Amino acid sequence: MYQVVSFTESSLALCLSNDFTTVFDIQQKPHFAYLVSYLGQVSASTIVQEENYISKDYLHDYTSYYSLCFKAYPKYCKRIHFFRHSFDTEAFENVIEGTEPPDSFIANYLGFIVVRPIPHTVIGFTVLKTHQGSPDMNFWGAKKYSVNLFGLSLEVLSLAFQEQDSVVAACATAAMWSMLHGAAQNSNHTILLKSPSEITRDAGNSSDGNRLFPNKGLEISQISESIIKSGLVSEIKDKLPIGSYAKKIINAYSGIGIPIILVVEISDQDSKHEYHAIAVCGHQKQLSAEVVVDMEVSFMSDNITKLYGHDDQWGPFVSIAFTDDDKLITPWNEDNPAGSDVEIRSIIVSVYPKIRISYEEIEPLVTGYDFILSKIFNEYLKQDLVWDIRLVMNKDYKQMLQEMDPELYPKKLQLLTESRPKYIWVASCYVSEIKILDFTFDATGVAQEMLGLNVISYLDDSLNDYIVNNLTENRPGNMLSIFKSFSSEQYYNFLQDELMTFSSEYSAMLSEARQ
Amino acid sequence: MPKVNASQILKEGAELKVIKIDYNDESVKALLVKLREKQDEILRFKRVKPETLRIIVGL
Repeated sequence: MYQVVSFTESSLALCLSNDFTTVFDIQQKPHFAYLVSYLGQVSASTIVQEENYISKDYLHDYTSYYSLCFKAYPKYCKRIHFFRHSFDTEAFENVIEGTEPPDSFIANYLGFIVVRPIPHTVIGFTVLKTHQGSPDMNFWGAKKYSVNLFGLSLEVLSLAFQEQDSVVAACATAAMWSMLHGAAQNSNHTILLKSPSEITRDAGNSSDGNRLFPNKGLEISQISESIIKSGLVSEIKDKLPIGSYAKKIINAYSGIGIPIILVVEISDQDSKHEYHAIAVCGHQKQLSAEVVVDMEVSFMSDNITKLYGHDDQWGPFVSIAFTDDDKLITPWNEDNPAGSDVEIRSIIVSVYPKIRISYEEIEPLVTGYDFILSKIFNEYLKQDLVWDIRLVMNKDYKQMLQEMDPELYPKKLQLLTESRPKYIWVASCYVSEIKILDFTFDATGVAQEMLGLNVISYLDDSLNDYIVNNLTENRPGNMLSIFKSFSSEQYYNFLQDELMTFSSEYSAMLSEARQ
Repeated sequence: MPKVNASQILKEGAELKVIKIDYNDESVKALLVKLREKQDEILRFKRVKPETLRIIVGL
Protein backbone atom coordinates (compact mmCIF):
# COMPACT_ATOMS: atom_id res chain seq x y z
CA MET A 1 0.00 0.00 0.00
CA TYR A 2 1.53 3.27 -1.05
CA GLN A 3 0.75 6.61 -2.60
CA VAL A 4 2.82 9.04 -4.67
CA VAL A 5 1.86 12.73 -4.36
CA SER A 6 3.45 16.07 -5.13
CA PHE A 7 4.91 17.92 -2.15
CA THR A 8 2.65 20.81 -1.13
CA GLU A 9 1.56 22.20 2.23
CA SER A 10 -1.82 20.49 1.98
CA SER A 11 -0.41 17.13 0.84
CA LEU A 12 2.07 17.18 3.73
CA ALA A 13 -0.72 17.98 6.23
CA LEU A 14 -2.81 15.13 4.84
CA CYS A 15 0.10 12.67 5.02
CA LEU A 16 0.81 13.66 8.66
CA SER A 17 -2.80 13.28 9.77
CA ASN A 18 -4.23 10.06 11.23
CA ASP A 19 -7.48 8.71 12.72
CA PHE A 20 -6.94 10.73 15.90
CA THR A 21 -5.47 13.91 14.42
CA THR A 22 -7.21 15.91 11.69
CA VAL A 23 -5.54 17.89 8.92
CA PHE A 24 -6.59 21.05 10.77
CA ASP A 25 -4.91 19.82 13.98
CA ILE A 26 -1.74 19.09 12.03
CA GLN A 27 -1.73 22.58 10.53
CA GLN A 28 -1.83 24.12 14.01
CA LYS A 29 1.29 22.29 15.17
CA PRO A 30 4.54 24.30 15.21
CA HIS A 31 6.23 21.26 13.65
CA PHE A 32 4.07 21.62 10.57
CA ALA A 33 5.17 25.20 9.82
CA TYR A 34 8.78 24.26 10.55
CA LEU A 35 8.68 21.15 8.32
CA VAL A 36 7.04 23.02 5.44
CA SER A 37 9.86 25.56 5.60
CA TYR A 38 12.62 22.99 6.11
CA LEU A 39 11.45 20.65 3.35
CA GLY A 40 11.11 23.69 1.09
CA GLN A 41 14.74 24.64 1.83
CA VAL A 42 15.98 21.17 0.88
CA SER A 43 13.79 21.38 -2.27
CA ALA A 44 11.34 18.54 -1.66
CA SER A 45 9.12 17.86 -4.71
CA THR A 46 7.52 14.46 -4.24
CA ILE A 47 6.18 12.41 -1.32
CA VAL A 48 5.85 8.62 -1.24
CA GLN A 49 3.54 7.46 1.54
CA GLU A 50 4.19 3.94 2.80
CA GLU A 51 1.30 2.39 4.78
CA ASN A 52 1.42 -0.23 7.56
CA TYR A 53 5.00 0.49 8.51
CA ILE A 54 6.37 -1.13 11.67
CA SER A 55 8.55 1.25 13.66
CA LYS A 56 10.60 -0.52 16.32
CA ASP A 57 10.71 2.59 18.51
CA TYR A 58 6.97 3.09 18.41
CA LEU A 59 6.40 -0.62 18.98
CA HIS A 60 8.40 -0.43 22.24
CA ASP A 61 6.35 2.56 23.40
CA TYR A 62 3.17 0.84 22.21
CA THR A 63 4.01 -2.25 24.29
CA SER A 64 4.87 -0.30 27.41
CA TYR A 65 1.97 2.16 27.30
CA TYR A 66 -0.47 2.41 24.39
CA SER A 67 -1.40 -1.28 24.24
CA LEU A 68 -2.47 -1.04 27.90
CA CYS A 69 -4.91 1.80 27.25
CA PHE A 70 -8.64 1.11 27.16
CA LYS A 71 -8.86 2.71 23.74
CA ALA A 72 -7.51 0.58 20.88
CA TYR A 73 -4.51 2.36 19.35
CA PRO A 74 -3.11 0.75 16.21
CA LYS A 75 0.42 -0.63 16.22
CA TYR A 76 1.15 0.17 12.58
CA CYS A 77 2.50 3.55 11.47
CA LYS A 78 2.78 5.39 8.16
CA ARG A 79 6.17 6.34 6.74
CA ILE A 80 6.38 9.27 4.37
CA HIS A 81 9.45 9.64 2.14
CA PHE A 82 10.63 12.83 0.45
CA PHE A 83 12.42 13.21 -2.87
CA ARG A 84 13.92 16.28 -4.51
CA HIS A 85 12.81 15.33 -8.04
CA SER A 86 9.32 15.12 -9.49
CA PHE A 87 7.88 11.78 -10.57
CA ASP A 88 4.52 10.05 -10.81
CA THR A 89 3.24 6.66 -9.64
CA GLU A 90 4.17 4.97 -12.91
CA ALA A 91 7.80 6.16 -12.80
CA PHE A 92 8.05 5.04 -9.16
CA GLU A 93 6.63 1.59 -9.96
CA ASN A 94 9.07 1.20 -12.86
CA VAL A 95 11.99 1.77 -10.50
CA ILE A 96 10.58 -0.60 -7.85
CA GLU A 97 10.01 -3.30 -10.45
CA GLY A 98 13.53 -2.78 -11.79
CA THR A 99 12.55 -1.78 -15.33
CA GLU A 100 14.08 1.71 -14.82
CA PRO A 101 17.42 2.47 -13.10
CA PRO A 102 17.06 3.86 -9.55
CA ASP A 103 19.88 6.44 -9.86
CA SER A 104 17.73 9.59 -9.75
CA PHE A 105 15.77 8.22 -6.75
CA ILE A 106 19.02 7.46 -4.89
CA ALA A 107 20.53 10.86 -5.71
CA ASN A 108 17.41 12.83 -4.80
CA TYR A 109 16.35 11.07 -1.61
CA LEU A 110 15.77 13.47 1.30
CA GLY A 111 14.68 11.09 4.07
CA PHE A 112 11.48 10.11 5.85
CA ILE A 113 9.07 10.80 8.71
CA VAL A 114 7.28 8.00 10.57
CA VAL A 115 3.71 9.08 11.42
CA ARG A 116 2.56 7.50 14.69
CA PRO A 117 -1.10 6.41 15.01
CA ILE A 118 -1.66 8.38 18.24
CA PRO A 119 -3.38 11.67 19.04
CA HIS A 120 -1.59 14.89 18.18
CA THR A 121 2.06 13.90 18.80
CA VAL A 122 2.29 12.11 15.47
CA ILE A 123 5.91 12.74 14.44
CA GLY A 124 7.86 9.57 15.17
CA PHE A 125 11.27 8.37 13.92
CA THR A 126 12.35 11.05 11.45
CA VAL A 127 15.47 11.10 9.35
CA LEU A 128 15.78 14.15 7.10
CA LYS A 129 18.83 15.25 5.15
CA THR A 130 20.90 17.97 6.84
CA HIS A 131 20.76 21.60 5.66
CA GLN A 132 22.62 22.19 2.44
CA GLY A 133 24.61 25.17 1.40
CA SER A 134 27.33 26.95 3.30
CA PRO A 135 30.64 25.07 3.71
CA ASP A 136 30.93 26.77 7.14
CA MET A 137 28.16 24.46 8.40
CA ASN A 138 29.43 21.37 10.19
CA PHE A 139 26.92 18.67 11.12
CA TRP A 140 29.28 16.65 13.28
CA GLY A 141 26.46 14.71 14.98
CA ALA A 142 25.01 13.40 11.70
CA LYS A 143 25.59 9.91 10.36
CA LYS A 144 24.59 7.85 7.34
CA TYR A 145 21.26 6.04 7.62
CA SER A 146 20.44 3.21 5.23
CA VAL A 147 16.78 3.11 4.24
CA ASN A 148 14.96 0.34 2.43
CA LEU A 149 11.87 1.34 0.51
CA PHE A 150 10.16 -1.64 -1.17
CA GLY A 151 13.60 -3.15 -1.96
CA LEU A 152 15.14 0.15 -3.06
CA SER A 153 18.33 0.89 -1.08
CA LEU A 154 18.60 4.57 -0.17
CA GLU A 155 20.95 6.56 2.04
CA VAL A 156 20.66 9.82 3.90
CA LEU A 157 23.05 11.85 6.08
CA SER A 158 21.09 12.89 9.14
CA LEU A 159 20.47 12.45 12.85
CA ALA A 160 17.28 10.75 13.99
CA PHE A 161 14.59 13.04 15.39
CA GLN A 162 11.18 12.55 16.97
CA GLU A 163 8.79 14.74 18.91
CA GLN A 164 7.92 13.90 22.50
CA ASP A 165 4.64 12.09 22.89
CA SER A 166 4.18 13.66 26.37
CA VAL A 167 3.29 10.19 27.66
CA VAL A 168 6.41 8.04 27.69
CA ALA A 169 8.73 10.93 26.85
CA ALA A 170 9.12 14.67 27.36
CA CYS A 171 11.75 16.88 25.70
CA ALA A 172 14.63 15.56 27.82
CA THR A 173 13.97 11.99 26.67
CA ALA A 174 13.58 13.07 23.03
CA ALA A 175 16.94 14.92 23.17
CA MET A 176 18.60 11.90 24.79
CA TRP A 177 17.14 9.57 22.17
CA SER A 178 18.71 11.67 19.37
CA MET A 179 21.98 11.88 21.32
CA LEU A 180 22.16 8.08 21.61
CA HIS A 181 21.72 7.75 17.84
CA GLY A 182 24.78 9.94 17.35
CA ALA A 183 26.78 8.12 20.06
CA ALA A 184 26.06 4.64 18.71
CA GLN A 185 27.86 5.16 15.42
CA ASN A 186 31.44 5.06 16.78
CA SER A 187 30.85 2.85 19.78
CA ASN A 188 31.34 -0.69 18.38
CA HIS A 189 27.94 -1.63 19.78
CA THR A 190 28.79 -0.64 23.37
CA ILE A 191 26.15 2.11 23.29
CA LEU A 192 22.61 0.83 23.34
CA LEU A 193 19.98 2.40 21.13
CA LYS A 194 16.84 2.60 23.20
CA SER A 195 13.25 3.57 22.67
CA PRO A 196 11.93 6.70 24.43
CA SER A 197 10.08 4.62 27.05
CA GLU A 198 13.27 2.70 27.87
CA ILE A 199 15.26 5.94 28.21
CA THR A 200 12.66 7.42 30.56
CA ARG A 201 12.47 4.23 32.63
CA ASP A 202 16.28 4.17 32.99
CA ALA A 203 16.16 7.67 34.49
CA GLY A 204 14.66 6.26 37.70
CA ASN A 205 12.38 8.09 40.08
CA SER A 206 12.57 11.84 40.54
CA SER A 207 13.58 13.35 43.87
CA ASP A 208 10.00 14.53 44.51
CA GLY A 209 8.69 10.97 44.23
CA ASN A 210 6.40 11.68 41.28
CA ARG A 211 5.47 8.94 38.83
CA LEU A 212 7.58 8.50 35.67
CA PHE A 213 4.68 7.78 33.29
CA PRO A 214 2.94 9.83 31.96
CA ASN A 215 6.22 11.71 31.78
CA LYS A 216 6.28 15.46 32.24
CA GLY A 217 10.03 15.91 32.28
CA LEU A 218 13.26 14.69 33.86
CA GLU A 219 15.57 16.26 36.41
CA ILE A 220 19.15 16.82 35.24
CA SER A 221 20.30 14.13 37.70
CA GLN A 222 17.82 11.69 36.09
CA ILE A 223 19.10 12.54 32.62
CA SER A 224 22.58 11.81 33.88
CA GLU A 225 21.45 8.48 35.35
CA SER A 226 19.85 7.45 32.06
CA ILE A 227 23.00 8.42 30.13
CA ILE A 228 25.08 6.18 32.42
CA LYS A 229 22.69 3.26 31.90
CA SER A 230 23.17 3.65 28.14
CA GLY A 231 26.91 2.97 28.40
CA LEU A 232 28.14 6.58 28.44
CA VAL A 233 29.06 9.04 31.19
CA SER A 234 27.92 12.62 31.51
CA GLU A 235 29.74 15.87 32.20
CA ILE A 236 27.42 18.62 33.38
CA LYS A 237 28.47 22.19 32.73
CA ASP A 238 26.71 24.66 34.95
CA LYS A 239 25.45 28.17 34.19
CA LEU A 240 28.39 30.54 34.84
CA PRO A 241 29.78 32.75 32.02
CA ILE A 242 27.92 30.75 29.50
CA GLY A 243 28.17 32.49 26.10
CA SER A 244 31.75 31.93 24.99
CA TYR A 245 32.11 29.01 27.40
CA ALA A 246 29.21 27.19 25.71
CA LYS A 247 30.85 27.73 22.33
CA LYS A 248 34.15 26.36 23.68
CA ILE A 249 32.45 23.25 25.05
CA ILE A 250 30.45 22.56 21.89
CA ASN A 251 33.48 23.08 19.68
CA ALA A 252 35.67 20.95 21.96
CA TYR A 253 33.38 17.92 22.18
CA SER A 254 32.06 18.05 18.59
CA GLY A 255 35.08 16.00 17.45
CA ILE A 256 33.70 12.73 18.85
CA GLY A 257 30.35 13.22 17.10
CA ILE A 258 28.05 12.76 20.10
CA PRO A 259 25.22 15.32 20.13
CA ILE A 260 25.36 17.63 23.15
CA ILE A 261 22.25 18.32 25.23
CA LEU A 262 21.64 22.01 25.75
CA VAL A 263 19.33 22.85 28.65
CA VAL A 264 17.78 26.23 27.87
CA GLU A 265 15.72 28.45 30.13
CA ILE A 266 12.76 30.03 28.38
CA SER A 267 11.21 32.94 30.19
CA ASP A 268 8.35 35.13 29.03
CA GLN A 269 7.30 38.65 29.98
CA ASP A 270 5.35 37.32 32.98
CA SER A 271 8.68 35.97 34.34
CA LYS A 272 7.52 32.41 33.88
CA HIS A 273 10.59 30.17 33.60
CA GLU A 274 10.65 26.77 31.98
CA TYR A 275 13.51 24.46 31.05
CA HIS A 276 13.81 22.73 27.73
CA ALA A 277 16.31 20.28 26.18
CA ILE A 278 17.75 20.52 22.67
CA ALA A 279 20.18 17.99 21.14
CA VAL A 280 22.88 20.08 19.44
CA CYS A 281 24.44 18.26 16.47
CA GLY A 282 26.05 20.96 14.31
CA HIS A 283 27.40 24.45 14.19
CA GLN A 284 28.37 27.20 11.80
CA LYS A 285 31.58 29.23 12.04
CA GLN A 286 32.48 32.52 10.48
CA LEU A 287 36.14 33.46 10.66
CA SER A 288 36.66 36.95 12.01
CA ALA A 289 38.66 39.31 9.81
CA GLU A 290 41.40 40.10 12.31
CA VAL A 291 42.27 38.96 15.82
CA VAL A 292 44.03 41.79 17.60
CA VAL A 293 47.12 40.89 19.62
CA ASP A 294 46.44 41.22 23.34
CA MET A 295 47.11 39.28 26.52
CA GLU A 296 43.66 37.67 26.48
CA VAL A 297 43.63 34.13 25.10
CA SER A 298 41.74 33.89 21.80
CA PHE A 299 39.77 30.82 20.81
CA MET A 300 38.60 29.55 17.43
CA SER A 301 35.27 28.63 19.06
CA ASP A 302 34.46 32.35 19.34
CA ASN A 303 33.83 32.20 15.58
CA ILE A 304 30.76 29.99 16.12
CA THR A 305 27.78 32.06 15.02
CA LYS A 306 25.05 29.44 15.03
CA LEU A 307 24.25 26.04 16.46
CA TYR A 308 21.97 23.44 14.87
CA GLY A 309 19.98 21.09 17.02
CA HIS A 310 16.95 18.85 17.30
CA ASP A 311 14.21 20.68 19.20
CA ASP A 312 11.44 18.15 19.65
CA GLN A 313 8.80 20.88 19.79
CA TRP A 314 9.78 22.28 16.37
CA GLY A 315 11.80 19.88 14.27
CA PRO A 316 15.23 18.65 13.23
CA PHE A 317 18.27 20.92 12.73
CA VAL A 318 16.67 24.10 14.09
CA SER A 319 18.92 27.13 14.00
CA ILE A 320 20.14 28.60 17.32
CA ALA A 321 21.87 31.95 16.97
CA PHE A 322 23.74 33.89 19.67
CA THR A 323 22.87 37.47 20.51
CA ASP A 324 25.49 39.99 21.64
CA ASP A 325 24.36 39.62 25.26
CA ASP A 326 24.80 35.82 25.28
CA LYS A 327 21.11 35.03 24.81
CA LEU A 328 19.76 32.81 22.07
CA ILE A 329 17.50 33.29 19.08
CA THR A 330 15.65 30.04 18.51
CA PRO A 331 12.31 29.13 16.92
CA TRP A 332 10.84 29.91 20.37
CA ASN A 333 11.52 33.62 20.01
CA GLU A 334 12.75 34.34 16.48
CA ASP A 335 9.49 35.97 15.42
CA ASN A 336 9.35 38.07 18.57
CA PRO A 337 12.76 38.30 20.31
CA ALA A 338 11.37 40.80 22.83
CA GLY A 339 8.53 38.44 23.76
CA SER A 340 10.62 35.83 25.51
CA ASP A 341 14.22 35.23 26.52
CA VAL A 342 16.03 32.01 25.76
CA GLU A 343 19.27 31.42 27.67
CA ILE A 344 21.57 28.46 28.15
CA ARG A 345 21.13 27.09 31.68
CA SER A 346 23.35 24.01 31.51
CA ILE A 347 25.14 21.80 29.05
CA ILE A 348 25.06 18.02 29.35
CA VAL A 349 27.98 16.45 27.51
CA SER A 350 27.85 12.68 27.03
CA VAL A 351 31.18 10.97 26.50
CA TYR A 352 32.53 7.44 26.29
CA PRO A 353 33.61 6.28 29.79
CA LYS A 354 37.22 5.91 28.66
CA ILE A 355 37.45 9.69 28.23
CA ARG A 356 38.49 10.87 31.70
CA ILE A 357 40.17 14.20 31.04
CA SER A 358 37.68 16.99 30.59
CA TYR A 359 37.98 20.24 28.69
CA GLU A 360 38.49 22.16 31.93
CA GLU A 361 41.74 20.29 32.52
CA ILE A 362 43.12 21.08 29.06
CA GLU A 363 42.29 24.79 28.75
CA PRO A 364 44.56 25.82 31.69
CA LEU A 365 47.48 24.07 29.96
CA VAL A 366 46.70 25.90 26.73
CA THR A 367 46.56 29.26 28.52
CA GLY A 368 50.02 28.47 29.95
CA TYR A 369 51.42 27.75 26.47
CA ASP A 370 49.69 30.87 25.14
CA PHE A 371 51.44 32.94 27.80
CA ILE A 372 54.88 31.52 26.92
CA LEU A 373 54.48 31.81 23.13
CA SER A 374 52.95 35.28 23.34
CA LYS A 375 55.88 36.47 25.43
CA ILE A 376 58.42 34.87 23.09
CA PHE A 377 56.88 36.36 19.95
CA ASN A 378 56.49 39.57 21.91
CA GLU A 379 55.01 42.35 19.80
CA TYR A 380 56.09 40.78 16.50
CA LEU A 381 52.94 38.74 15.73
CA LYS A 382 50.74 40.08 12.93
CA GLN A 383 47.65 38.77 14.70
CA ASP A 384 46.97 37.13 18.05
CA LEU A 385 47.48 33.42 18.63
CA VAL A 386 44.13 31.62 18.28
CA TRP A 387 43.55 28.21 19.86
CA ASP A 388 41.27 25.44 18.67
CA ILE A 389 40.85 22.77 21.38
CA ARG A 390 39.04 19.59 20.32
CA LEU A 391 38.57 16.06 21.60
CA VAL A 392 39.13 13.58 18.77
CA MET A 393 39.53 9.87 18.22
CA ASN A 394 43.12 8.82 17.70
CA LYS A 395 42.17 7.07 14.44
CA ASP A 396 40.89 10.36 13.02
CA TYR A 397 44.03 12.16 14.13
CA LYS A 398 46.24 9.50 12.54
CA GLN A 399 44.25 9.83 9.33
CA MET A 400 45.06 13.56 9.34
CA LEU A 401 48.73 12.72 9.98
CA GLN A 402 48.82 10.32 7.06
CA GLU A 403 48.13 13.20 4.70
CA MET A 404 51.12 15.17 6.03
CA ASP A 405 54.35 15.46 4.12
CA PRO A 406 57.07 13.37 5.90
CA GLU A 407 59.50 16.21 5.12
CA LEU A 408 57.38 18.47 7.29
CA TYR A 409 57.15 16.03 10.17
CA PRO A 410 60.22 13.79 10.61
CA LYS A 411 58.57 11.66 13.32
CA LYS A 412 55.53 10.87 11.15
CA LEU A 413 56.26 7.16 10.75
CA GLN A 414 57.03 6.73 14.44
CA LEU A 415 53.83 8.47 15.47
CA LEU A 416 51.66 6.55 13.04
CA THR A 417 53.00 3.19 14.13
CA GLU A 418 53.19 3.69 17.89
CA SER A 419 50.42 2.74 20.28
CA ARG A 420 48.42 5.72 21.49
CA PRO A 421 45.29 6.36 23.56
CA LYS A 422 41.98 5.89 21.77
CA TYR A 423 40.87 9.47 22.56
CA ILE A 424 43.10 12.52 22.52
CA TRP A 425 42.78 16.25 23.04
CA VAL A 426 44.24 18.31 20.22
CA ALA A 427 45.04 21.98 20.80
CA SER A 428 45.91 23.68 17.52
CA CYS A 429 47.51 27.09 17.54
CA TYR A 430 46.84 29.49 14.66
CA VAL A 431 47.95 32.93 13.57
CA SER A 432 45.09 34.17 11.42
CA GLU A 433 44.19 31.06 9.37
CA ILE A 434 47.74 29.68 9.43
CA LYS A 435 48.22 26.70 11.70
CA ILE A 436 51.59 26.85 13.45
CA LEU A 437 51.47 24.17 16.17
CA ASP A 438 49.44 21.11 17.19
CA PHE A 439 49.64 19.88 20.78
CA THR A 440 48.16 16.48 21.61
CA PHE A 441 47.22 15.27 25.09
CA ASP A 442 46.06 11.93 26.43
CA ALA A 443 42.30 12.16 27.09
CA THR A 444 42.22 8.86 28.99
CA GLY A 445 44.97 9.46 31.55
CA VAL A 446 45.36 10.82 35.07
CA ALA A 447 44.96 14.59 35.40
CA GLN A 448 47.92 14.95 37.80
CA GLU A 449 50.42 13.47 35.36
CA MET A 450 51.95 15.11 32.27
CA LEU A 451 49.35 14.35 29.60
CA GLY A 452 51.33 15.66 26.61
CA LEU A 453 51.80 13.15 23.79
CA ASN A 454 53.46 15.11 21.03
CA VAL A 455 53.74 18.52 19.38
CA ILE A 456 53.70 19.03 15.63
CA SER A 457 55.34 22.21 14.42
CA TYR A 458 54.37 23.63 11.04
CA LEU A 459 57.05 26.33 11.37
CA ASP A 460 60.27 26.50 9.39
CA ASP A 461 63.64 25.82 11.05
CA SER A 462 64.40 29.46 11.88
CA LEU A 463 61.09 30.00 13.72
CA ASN A 464 61.37 26.65 15.40
CA ASP A 465 64.91 27.33 16.62
CA TYR A 466 63.79 30.77 17.76
CA ILE A 467 61.16 29.26 20.07
CA VAL A 468 63.53 26.52 21.34
CA ASN A 469 66.32 29.00 22.09
CA ASN A 470 63.95 31.31 23.90
CA LEU A 471 62.53 28.45 25.93
CA THR A 472 66.09 27.51 26.95
CA GLU A 473 67.06 31.07 27.87
CA ASN A 474 63.86 31.99 29.68
CA ARG A 475 63.11 29.07 31.97
CA PRO A 476 60.98 30.52 34.78
CA GLY A 477 62.13 29.92 38.33
CA ASN A 478 58.62 28.96 39.35
CA MET A 479 56.96 26.80 36.71
CA LEU A 480 53.81 26.61 38.80
CA SER A 481 53.19 30.24 37.94
CA ILE A 482 52.57 29.24 34.31
CA PHE A 483 50.97 25.80 34.44
CA LYS A 484 48.52 24.97 37.19
CA SER A 485 49.64 21.36 37.43
CA PHE A 486 51.81 19.08 39.54
CA SER A 487 53.69 18.40 36.30
CA SER A 488 54.40 22.04 35.40
CA GLU A 489 58.06 21.52 34.65
CA GLN A 490 57.34 18.51 32.45
CA TYR A 491 54.83 20.58 30.44
CA TYR A 492 57.51 23.22 29.83
CA ASN A 493 60.08 20.58 28.86
CA PHE A 494 57.50 18.81 26.69
CA LEU A 495 57.22 21.79 24.34
CA GLN A 496 60.96 22.32 24.24
CA ASP A 497 61.81 18.64 23.65
CA GLU A 498 59.15 18.14 21.02
CA LEU A 499 60.15 21.23 19.05
CA MET A 500 63.76 20.06 19.06
CA THR A 501 62.70 17.02 17.05
CA PHE A 502 61.87 19.37 14.17
CA SER A 503 65.42 20.70 13.88
CA SER A 504 67.45 19.77 10.82
CA GLU A 505 70.05 18.07 13.07
CA TYR A 506 67.39 15.77 14.51
CA SER A 507 66.05 14.89 11.03
CA ALA A 508 69.56 14.03 9.85
CA MET A 509 70.14 11.91 12.96
CA LEU A 510 66.83 10.10 12.44
CA SER A 511 67.47 9.32 8.80
CA GLU A 512 71.01 8.12 9.67
CA ALA A 513 69.58 5.81 12.33
CA ARG A 514 67.07 4.39 9.83
CA GLN A 515 69.88 3.53 7.40
CA MET B 1 52.47 21.95 2.12
CA PRO B 2 55.45 24.26 2.73
CA LYS B 3 56.53 25.17 6.25
CA VAL B 4 55.34 28.45 7.73
CA ASN B 5 57.95 31.18 7.48
CA ALA B 6 58.41 34.36 9.52
CA SER B 7 56.93 36.72 6.89
CA GLN B 8 53.59 34.86 7.08
CA ILE B 9 53.01 35.36 10.78
CA LEU B 10 55.34 38.12 11.97
CA LYS B 11 55.35 41.83 11.24
CA GLU B 12 57.86 43.25 8.82
CA GLY B 13 61.20 43.93 10.48
CA ALA B 14 60.71 41.35 13.26
CA GLU B 15 64.07 40.10 14.52
CA LEU B 16 64.43 36.48 15.55
CA LYS B 17 66.85 37.18 18.38
CA VAL B 18 66.68 35.59 21.81
CA ILE B 19 64.78 37.85 24.17
CA LYS B 20 64.94 38.10 27.94
CA ILE B 21 61.73 37.62 29.90
CA ASP B 22 62.12 39.18 33.34
CA TYR B 23 59.79 37.16 35.58
CA ASN B 24 60.46 39.62 38.42
CA ASP B 25 59.16 42.53 36.39
CA GLU B 26 55.95 43.87 37.92
CA SER B 27 54.04 43.81 34.62
CA VAL B 28 55.02 40.16 33.99
CA LYS B 29 54.08 39.29 37.57
CA ALA B 30 50.69 40.93 37.08
CA LEU B 31 50.11 38.93 33.90
CA LEU B 32 51.00 35.73 35.70
CA VAL B 33 48.53 36.54 38.48
CA LYS B 34 45.84 37.14 35.84
CA LEU B 35 46.77 33.87 34.14
CA ARG B 36 46.42 31.97 37.40
CA GLU B 37 43.04 33.57 38.10
CA LYS B 38 41.84 32.53 34.67
CA GLN B 39 43.05 28.96 35.17
CA ASP B 40 41.31 28.78 38.56
CA GLU B 41 38.12 30.08 37.01
CA ILE B 42 38.15 27.41 34.28
CA LEU B 43 38.64 24.67 36.85
CA ARG B 44 35.70 26.02 38.86
CA PHE B 45 33.41 25.38 35.86
CA LYS B 46 33.67 21.67 36.66
CA ARG B 47 31.70 22.15 39.86
CA VAL B 48 27.96 21.74 39.50
CA LYS B 49 25.63 23.44 41.94
CA PRO B 50 23.29 20.97 43.70
CA GLU B 51 20.22 22.98 42.66
CA THR B 52 21.20 22.50 38.99
CA LEU B 53 20.76 18.76 39.32
CA ARG B 54 17.17 19.21 40.51
CA ILE B 55 16.06 21.37 37.58
CA ILE B 56 13.16 19.68 35.81
CA VAL B 57 13.70 19.71 32.05
CA GLY B 58 10.34 19.14 30.48
CA LEU B 59 8.73 21.71 28.30
